[in-house]
Amino acid sequence: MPAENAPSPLIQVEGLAVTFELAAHSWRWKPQVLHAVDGVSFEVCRGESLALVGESGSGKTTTGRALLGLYRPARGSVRFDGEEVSKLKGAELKRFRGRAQMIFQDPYASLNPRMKVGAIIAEPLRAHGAGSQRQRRERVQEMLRLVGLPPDASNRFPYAFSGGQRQRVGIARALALHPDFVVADEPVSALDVSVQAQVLNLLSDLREELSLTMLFIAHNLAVVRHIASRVAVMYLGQLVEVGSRDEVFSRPAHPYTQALLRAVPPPDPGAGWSGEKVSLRGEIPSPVSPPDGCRFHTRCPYAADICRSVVPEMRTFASGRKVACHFAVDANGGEFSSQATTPEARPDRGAGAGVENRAGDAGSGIETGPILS
Amino acid sequence: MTGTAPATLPDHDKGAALVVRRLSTVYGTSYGRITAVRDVSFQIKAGEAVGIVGETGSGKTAIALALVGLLPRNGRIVAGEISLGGVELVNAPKKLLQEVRGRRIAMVFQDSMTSLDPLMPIGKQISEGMVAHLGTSADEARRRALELLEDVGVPDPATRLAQYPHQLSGGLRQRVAIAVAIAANPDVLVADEPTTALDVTIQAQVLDLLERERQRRGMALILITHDLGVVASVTDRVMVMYAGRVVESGTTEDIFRDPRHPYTLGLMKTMPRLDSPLGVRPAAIPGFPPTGYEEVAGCPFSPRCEWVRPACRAEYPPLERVAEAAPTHEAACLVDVRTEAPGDAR
Repeated sequence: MPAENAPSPLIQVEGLAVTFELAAHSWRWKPQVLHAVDGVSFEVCRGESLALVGESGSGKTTTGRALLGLYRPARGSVRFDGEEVSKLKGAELKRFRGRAQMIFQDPYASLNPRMKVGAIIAEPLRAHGAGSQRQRRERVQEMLRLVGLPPDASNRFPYAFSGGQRQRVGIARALALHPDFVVADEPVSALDVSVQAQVLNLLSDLREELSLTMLFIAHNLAVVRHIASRVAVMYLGQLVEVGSRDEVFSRPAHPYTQALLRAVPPPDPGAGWSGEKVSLRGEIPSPVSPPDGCRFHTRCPYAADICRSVVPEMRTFASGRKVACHFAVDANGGEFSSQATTPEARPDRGAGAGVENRAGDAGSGIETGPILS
Repeated sequence: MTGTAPATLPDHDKGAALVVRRLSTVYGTSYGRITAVRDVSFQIKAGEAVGIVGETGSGKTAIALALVGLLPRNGRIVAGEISLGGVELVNAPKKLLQEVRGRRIAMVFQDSMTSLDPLMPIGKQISEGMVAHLGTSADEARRRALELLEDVGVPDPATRLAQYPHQLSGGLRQRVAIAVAIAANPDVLVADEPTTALDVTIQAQVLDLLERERQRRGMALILITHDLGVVASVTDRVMVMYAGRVVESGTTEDIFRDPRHPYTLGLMKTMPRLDSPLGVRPAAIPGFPPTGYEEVAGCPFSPRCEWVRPACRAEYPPLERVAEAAPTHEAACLVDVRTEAPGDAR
């Protein structure tokens, strides 16, 4: 394995696109193509935890699965430790599968109800021919300890456990082979609120203890705040913003990120939160026929003519944060200033917009600014 | 059974749209009997929005189903009264329930894919209630259905009237489900996790819609959810449930500013939020919620409670007023979480 002290990328994704062909109907001869992921590029560095957030239909789960080689990219590439995942075969592919594991969303559907918990956790070891039977039993016990389950859990079936405990079993299974990389796909969204924090804290501890690289997929922004070091926001198959956790949460630059953060009702009756003020109009369009230009323009309170025709490039701010919006401006006095913000093209502000307008000398574009008082 | 004595009920009975007294429901399952709701009492004034907060198995959905008379075949009300504007619903004849349901009390379910009829055009589903309850003519009902679709924010309502549920997105379906529920102008709307299956941006829209229609129609709203954020932004009062019981209730302000039950306090601390300090490990409530099969002696939260003391395991503490200044704020706990430190009694 290459040098581990430098933050080198473990996963490199370039122009990734994943499409699904929808079944042709008798009246529609040509099968339709669903563009689940459409031109996504990012990196996951060794030991980091990257959160991939977005609404349903944004392509976050498809991206996560493509990273594990579970979907074949239509275009673009996914490299794991320098090697193209889609080209791996035979023993190499098997080795890769051992190094890259997945934690699933639904702890009820992802555990075989006919297998005892011990056998479930030992399954990856068995599949990879790791150790003798006795060593595997020992590893199962070690994993149970690690995730905070009692030793006798191995002799019981999944039905005997609550949702939170089952998710611990799923985590133990994913970590049994000591993988380098784990994709956690909504690992707490099926759990009760009082149990979510337990599992999040466990994942956080394990990540540090085992120096895991993690892709954490979630729709709930509040959930990723404590576990992610960087955040990538997806909308309709594309990335709209990527940046450090602190930046994205305290100064979201893309109008969609801003709207996502504002849409979460705060647990505070005095906050004066109102759905009408904060919500985006309309719904996420169909990934079968995504809108032209910026894909977010149909719901964006700032959309101008340019947004309807020109696809915004992913641009990098001074701090390293990336944003795909014609009007985004770096409020930290960054070098970036949009060429698109001429007065004619200036977006129509206000009208039902969920984004606060701030006084500022820039006067053009959507500034990044604190959205939480 | 100890618990809410009727005497603790405030006496504004007459103005109440809905009064529930000492309600208990059970489910019979192949593993045994589950008591889903235990001795729950509350009342709701006309036009008021009340949140019922709780986790899986806390009994919040069982209350909703009992209110609208839709408990499944293996479930039944074993004790208590439900009085809707003076009409007693427990053990009411089926005909009376049918008259009341939809007209006086209506329900919005979590999953609009299964709560709407997949084989009926949505226009017909909306007008059905008006024809049955209000004697509206079919033409008039159709016209009103069109208006309702517009009210609930469904774009292109004329086309949508003839469409089927599967042709709509989840957010639009939930809007249609709300239109169906409010079509006959009910006095009380019960919404069971109406936004849980929706994305946050759509959730914001639907919450706003519920709020707008409630105010416009002067309808009482019972909002059942596990999300404290949703409760805080929409409701006037909150009941927190645990293991089939109301463990704390009060104005939304009281519950959020001054939580008194250790479970409520734990929920507030453990809930992931956008404004919590970073770098501080989120607090977690240890253990797991009870399944409902086991009979817990005393307070059902005691196995997970940091404040637990021997007396907690002996008897279930009654819901009692927590402060003179807050007449509606009640909690079922022996401990004063403000003055006593966790683990004191252990």
